[in-house]
This record gives sequence, C-alpha cells and structure tokens, in this order.
Amino acid sequence: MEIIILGATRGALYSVIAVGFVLVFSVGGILNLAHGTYYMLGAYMTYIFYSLVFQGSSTAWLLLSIICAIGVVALFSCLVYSILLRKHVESLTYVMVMTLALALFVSEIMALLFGVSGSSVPSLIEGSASILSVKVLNQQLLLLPMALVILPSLWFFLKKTRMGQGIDAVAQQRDGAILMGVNADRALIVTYGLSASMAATAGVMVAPISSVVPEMWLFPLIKAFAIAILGGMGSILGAVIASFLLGYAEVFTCFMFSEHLSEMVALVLIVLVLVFRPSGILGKKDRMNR
Amino acid sequence: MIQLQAIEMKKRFDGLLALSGLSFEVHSAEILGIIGPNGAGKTTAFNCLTGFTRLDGGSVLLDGQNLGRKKPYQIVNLGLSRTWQLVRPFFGMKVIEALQIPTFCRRVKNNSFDQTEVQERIYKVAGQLSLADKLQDTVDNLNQGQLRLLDIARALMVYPKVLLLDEPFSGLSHFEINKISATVKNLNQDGLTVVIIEHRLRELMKLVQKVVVVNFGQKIAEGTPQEVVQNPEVTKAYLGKEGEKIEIP
Amino acid sequence: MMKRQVLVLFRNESPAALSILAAGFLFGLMSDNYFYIEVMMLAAIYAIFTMSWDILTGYTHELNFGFALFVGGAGYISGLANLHLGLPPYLTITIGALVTGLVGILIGYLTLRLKGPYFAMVTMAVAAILYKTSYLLHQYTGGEEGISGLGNLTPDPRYDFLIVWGITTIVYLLLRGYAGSRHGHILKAIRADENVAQCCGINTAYHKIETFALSGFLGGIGGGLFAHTQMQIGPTMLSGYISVIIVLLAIIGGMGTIVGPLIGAISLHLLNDYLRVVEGYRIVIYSGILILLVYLAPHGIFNLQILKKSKTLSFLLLGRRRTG
Ligand SMILES: Nc1ncnc2c1ncn2[C@@H]1O[C@H](COP(=O)(O)OP(=O)(O)OP(=O)(O)O)[C@@H](O)[C@H]1O
Ligand SMILES: [Mg+2]
Repeated sequence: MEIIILGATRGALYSVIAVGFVLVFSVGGILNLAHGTYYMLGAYMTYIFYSLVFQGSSTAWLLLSIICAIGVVALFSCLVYSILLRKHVESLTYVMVMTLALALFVSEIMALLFGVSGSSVPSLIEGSASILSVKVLNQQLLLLPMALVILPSLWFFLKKTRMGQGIDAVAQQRDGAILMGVNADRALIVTYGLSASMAATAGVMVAPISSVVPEMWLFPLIKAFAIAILGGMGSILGAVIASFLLGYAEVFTCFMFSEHLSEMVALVLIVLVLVFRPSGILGKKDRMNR
Repeated sequence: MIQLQAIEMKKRFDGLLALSGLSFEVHSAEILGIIGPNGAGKTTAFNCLTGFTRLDGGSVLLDGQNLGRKKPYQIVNLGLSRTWQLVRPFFGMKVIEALQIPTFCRRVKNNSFDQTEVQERIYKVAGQLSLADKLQDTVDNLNQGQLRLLDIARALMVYPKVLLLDEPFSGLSHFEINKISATVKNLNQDGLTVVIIEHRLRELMKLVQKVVVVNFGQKIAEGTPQEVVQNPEVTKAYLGKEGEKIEIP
Repeated sequence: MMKRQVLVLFRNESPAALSILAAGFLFGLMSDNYFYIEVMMLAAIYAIFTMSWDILTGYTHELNFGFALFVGGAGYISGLANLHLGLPPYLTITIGALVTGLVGILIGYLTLRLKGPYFAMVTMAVAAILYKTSYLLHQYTGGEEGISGLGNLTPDPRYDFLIVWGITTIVYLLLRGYAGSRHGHILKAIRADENVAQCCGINTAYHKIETFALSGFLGGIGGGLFAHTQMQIGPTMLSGYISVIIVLLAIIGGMGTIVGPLIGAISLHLLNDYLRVVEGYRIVIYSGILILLVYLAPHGIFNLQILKKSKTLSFLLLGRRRTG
C-alpha cells in the first residue's frame, strides 16, 4: 500500500521534471544538463525570497515567494539560453559541456553563499495525512495535484494555443515547421524557459521535504535522463509513463533492498536500455547524429 | 564467368517489401546497368550486396563465395567496392588524406607491399578521375562533380574486383558524365566488373552491355540495352502506359 | 642509428609542447621549492588525463563524459592493491591501468552503436554507478573518506616529479604518434562518416574499441599516479566533477590536437593553484573562468582559426602537419 502511494507521488514529481527536459530535447536537440540546476534554483530562490527578502512568516508570503522564485528561474533560464547557448545550439558537445559547467558553477555559488549544510523552507501545508492507514506528509501529497495541473495545461498549451502548436510542430518535424513559417528560435527559447520553470516548480514543491543543498541538482538530472531514455527520447507521453515506472521501480527497490540501491535504479536503467535496446528508443536517428 | 550473383534477395522494411526475390548475375569484366522507377529497390539491393542491410532471404555470391553474414568491411576486403547515391566524402580532410583511408585496409596491404606503390596508386587513381590537381585541397571546397569523382576514386583505391556505382551521373553536367563514362569504360577494359544504377538512361545505355530492370523489388526484364527499351513491360513501368518507346540515340 | 630514430620522434612535434615539457624537467631538476614541485606534478597528472581523454573524444567526437571511471577506477584499484596486497606502486599502477584498459574494451564494445547524446549519457551513467558503488562498498573503499596511507612512488618528491613528467612526456609522444599514424586518420574518417570508412574496408568497430582501450589504459596510468603521488584516493576522483573538469580542460585546450589538452591542462591547473590567494572563492572563480573560456573559444585555444591560418604560429604550437 505504501508502495502505491509513495510511487505515485514520486512519479508525479519525476514527470514534472522530466517532461520539460524531454521537450527541450525534441524541440531544439538540446541535452540540457543544467535542467537540475533550475530545479535547485527553484528551491533556493524560494528560500531566498521567503527568508531573506520578504522575511514573512505566513502562507501568503510563502506563496508569493514561490511565484517570484519560479519567475526568477524562468528569466534566468532565458538569459542562459540567449547569452550562452543560442550561438552554438547546433553543437551537441558545446551545449552539453556548457550546461554541465554551468550546473557546477551555480552549485558552487550556492555552496559559497549558503554553505553546504542546507537551508530549509517551510511546507505549504503542514502535517500529514493517513490514507488507508499509510502516513504521508501533506506536502508530498501536494505533488499529485501539482502534476495533475501542470501536465494537462502543458498539453493544452501545446495542442490548442498558436504558440504551443508552433513548438509542437518544431518538435515533430523541425525542417517542415520552419518551412511553414514557425520561428524555431523563438519556439526554442519559450520551450527552454517553460521547461526551466517546470523544473523550478518541482524544486519548490520538494524544498520543504528535502533539505535545500547545493548538490541537489544532480539527482533530478539523472532521473530526467533515465526517464527520457526509457520513454523514448522525445515523446512526452512516453516520459510521463516512464516517470511513474521509474518512481515505482525506485520505491519498490527501496522497500525490498535498500535506499542506496534505489538510487542506482535510474543509472542502471540508462545503461541497460541504451546498450541493449537502442533500436527501441533511437526513434530519431537523424537528430541523434547531429 | 559469373563474378557476382544475387539469388532471390528478399528484404522487408516493416510492412514494405523492398526486395521480393530479386535475382541477377554479373559476369566478370562486364558493365551491368540496373534501372527502375523510384523506390523500386535498387539502392536496397546494393545495400544488401555490400552487407549494410541484412537480407531476410536469399543470398549473394562473389566469385562463388557466399557473402551471407559478412560485415561490410569484410565484403570490401573480398573485392566488392561501392559508392553511394548521395556523395559521402570525408568532410574536413584533404583530398589526398581521404584517398589514403582505403589504403589502410587489409586488401590493400596484401596487394601492394611497399609504401611507394600505394602512394603512386593514389596519384594514378586521382589522375584517372581528373583530381590530380585537387589533391591538396580540402574536400569541403570541391564541387558536386568533383565530389562524385572523389567517391569513385575512393572506391577504386581498394583494388576492387567489382565496383558498384549508385547513380554516379546524378547532378552532373554532360561534360562530367562523359568523363566518368570514359573512365568507367577504361577501367572495364582493364578487367574491372562494374554495376551501375542510373536514371539517366540515355547516357547509361551507351555504357553498359547488359541491363536489369527492377520494379517493386523484382526483376521485370533483362537483356541488352536494345532489347530492354523495346520491352513493353519496361515502358509500362517507366511511363505508366504501354505503347510508347524510350528513346535512345 | 638510435639517435636518428629518437630525432625522428621529435621532428614533427610541436615546439611549444616540447619546450613546456622540457621546462618542466628543468624546473624539477633545479628548483628547491617543493610546494611548486607538487603543484607542477599534479598539473602533469591532469595533462595525462586530458590527453588520454582527447585521443578518443577529440578524434571521434563522441563525448566521453565519464572519464572519472578510468581515473578513479584505476586510482582505487592501485590504492587497494597497494594497501591490502602490499604490492609496490609500479606494479599497482600497471595493474590498475590494465584493468581500466580492459574496461575500455568492454565499454567500447557495448557503446559501439551509440552516438551523440546517447554515448555521452552511457559514459556518464557508468561512471556514476561506480561512484555510488564506492559508497556502497564503504568497508573497502572508505566511503566518503576514501583510502589513504598509500605507498609513495619514491621517497623523494623530486624523483616523483621527474617520473611523472617523464610519463607525461611518453604519453604525449605516444598519443601524437598514434594520432598522426593511420590509426588517427582512421578515427577521423569514422568521425566524418562511419559507413564510408567501412566501405574503405576498415573494421571501424575494432578501431573504436582499440582507441577506447588506449584511452582507458593511459587514463588509468594517470589515476594510479595520482593515487600514489597524493598517497590517497577519494570519491572525488570518481565523481562527475572530475569528469567535467577533464572535459573542460581538454576542450579549452583544443580537442583533437593532444597538444591543446596538454598545455591547457597544465596552464589551467597552475591558474587554479594561483587562485589559492582567494581560497574561499577559488572554485567559483575557477569554474567561472572555464565557462568564459569555453564561451569565447568553443573549439579551444589550439583550434582557433587565427592559429591555423598563420603558418608560423601553427607550426610553433601544433608542429608540422604530416600529410601526403
Ligand atoms: N532503411 C529503410 N527503412 C525503411 N524503408 C526503407 C529503407 N530503405 C529503403 N526503404 C524503402 O524501400 C523502398 C526501396 O527503396 P530504394 O532506396 O531501394 O529505392 P531505389 O530504387 O533506390 O529508388 P531511387 O531511384 O529513388 O533511389 C522505398 O520505398 C524506400 O522507402
Ligand atoms: Mg536509390
């Protein structure tokens, strides 16, 4: 029973992180290794706004801080894209190296500013609930509605709005979309910002239940990797399904064996899937050869 | 003597039958043309002959030896060399460097024992394909015609017994086509077996001794250029209706 | 006769690289500043890392993002062999390097079909698995602490230094020779078009695996040297941080040149050390500078167009080009 609920919350969290990662990859061929950094920044910015800027103590202030945090991360990611990435976005090596270097850099800055020991952010809803005799933190339960709001709205955005349709078109078939007059560059920057703010949202939601530490960027990045590969690099629905698969697989390993081993699940999955079933996931051959 | 033999080659790409039992044979020192409409399976046939695509059925014999499960590089080392429908040069290299790559294969090492002979062969082949004055240029600066010539030169560097050319004339001027035709004829006179896929029938027919016509992954006709163009099946496949003739001079 | 052969070995070499290597030796022989001897020694070890990374990634352009696997893996193996089996450093380093060479063969084989992001991800993930394993097996590996108290290379730091620089020089010449030989040309052909390289009768799979093995073996030597000169090895050497630093140093130097990664690693390591004056901010400033350099010269200093255009500069820095 515990496995079912914990797996679901974990899957919900992963899906919000991974969908953005996959979206950026399919729209721009960008393997954004700074994705986890936006997650981390979401958490840190909430802390900064709540404890340092507003110094408030009510839930309203917390909500405001959260909104500001997500906004700042979105802005920051757009800056990163247009200053650091845009010029060489075609070069996979450059993008990977640059985003990873950036991830290290930001995490070092956070370590410098706030130390490695961790800062804390209060929960949106305190306390815990018992569902079918399983005790779960409320904040953790909040992850489910978060995913339930974000994912359908993303779907709505991509399928129903003009801008979103453009992005979707670029993701499906880049050259065709450009011929049809979609501004691929603008589609990419919007996607990049959107993906970063989704990562930041996830970070914000997790901040109260895990401590906010400088190396917290690594874990969501690895999960996003594994999910993207499992779900077929480029398919959003695939990513959502894979998120829950990974979530359950990890919770299960955690219960059966140990916490440490469950951290390995994602890594081992990456290697196994890529090495032994590349044909199943290398749907986009031309893009991967770029 | 039959040098290269394709027997009942079958290949299916999920749902689509690209080759449905294609058979043909090439005699040594012959120039064979393969023609057929777009999507007929000609390139797929080359890919199967050279080991880049695994056959679902049938087999390929080179000098009586089954190429069955051989890897592409092993097939090249047995003397079957090819070019691609789109030019595929080694971008970023100099022409001379690009021509040096094939000399590193086992076949060349066995064929010529000292380094000077290999070097001389680069100049000889480059000369045959009018690339002699381009040797020090980077590949990126060549034009389409020169890239074609470079591809053919590269394929010749491995001392092939059989050379497969996939649409060597496409995108070239008459002048360049004549040049390639003349070169192929010369090489053929020296004993090289050549198989050419081409859509430019007029130029092809002047060059080849025999033509195989492929449609829907099958051989629909075979014979001398004259026989083939008079075959009603062929005109139908090409023009969609019977009764008209394909003109060759 | 012998002398002629040795001369031939150097004839095509980059004067810049040779003079830096020579200057290093001179410094090691003359200086009594043991602090800087240690610093220069570590710089040379980093150069071994970046050069052995470069022979694979610089020539095939498949990004190895998990080089820590070789470096840290060999470091731990030689450390453990030294500590528990009591083997002398020259043996443990050889064993460590042989093991990582074999691991290179294995990973090369498994990743044969992978390209681009997929290749990068697998290398990264494999290294991360080893990193996590080092925590899981903490009773052997010391977990966070790592293992320390390893045997010295030699009792005298100066000899350590000379050995390390000697090995760096050998690795440099070896890799330049390899890259300039048919092996290097074949790798470039594979990078340009693997299918066409096969059409040239070349067993591309074999060549990729061979280079992976070489890269792993030499990286392993670097890792073993690190363990024995620092007399300890910890999880940092297995971490993503070290992988990224190696990638950054090599890229800033100039991928696919061997010279670039050599000089890049040495000079940037010295810069990093110089930043000790602002210890608290050191890592931030250092990684900031690295990012700036990648941004300004994405293809690396030694691949800058200005250098390639000028004959003198290109000769001085990269050595004579062997073609034709
Ligand atoms: N790798 C592949 N995967 C799926 N389908 C393929 C593949 N290669 C070829 N096909 C299909 O097989 C059929 C035959 O293709 P092929 O390239 O052999 O034709 P062709 O005779 O060379 O045509 P063209 O004259 O246009 O070059 C085509 O319908 C093509 O779409
Ligand atoms: Mg074709």
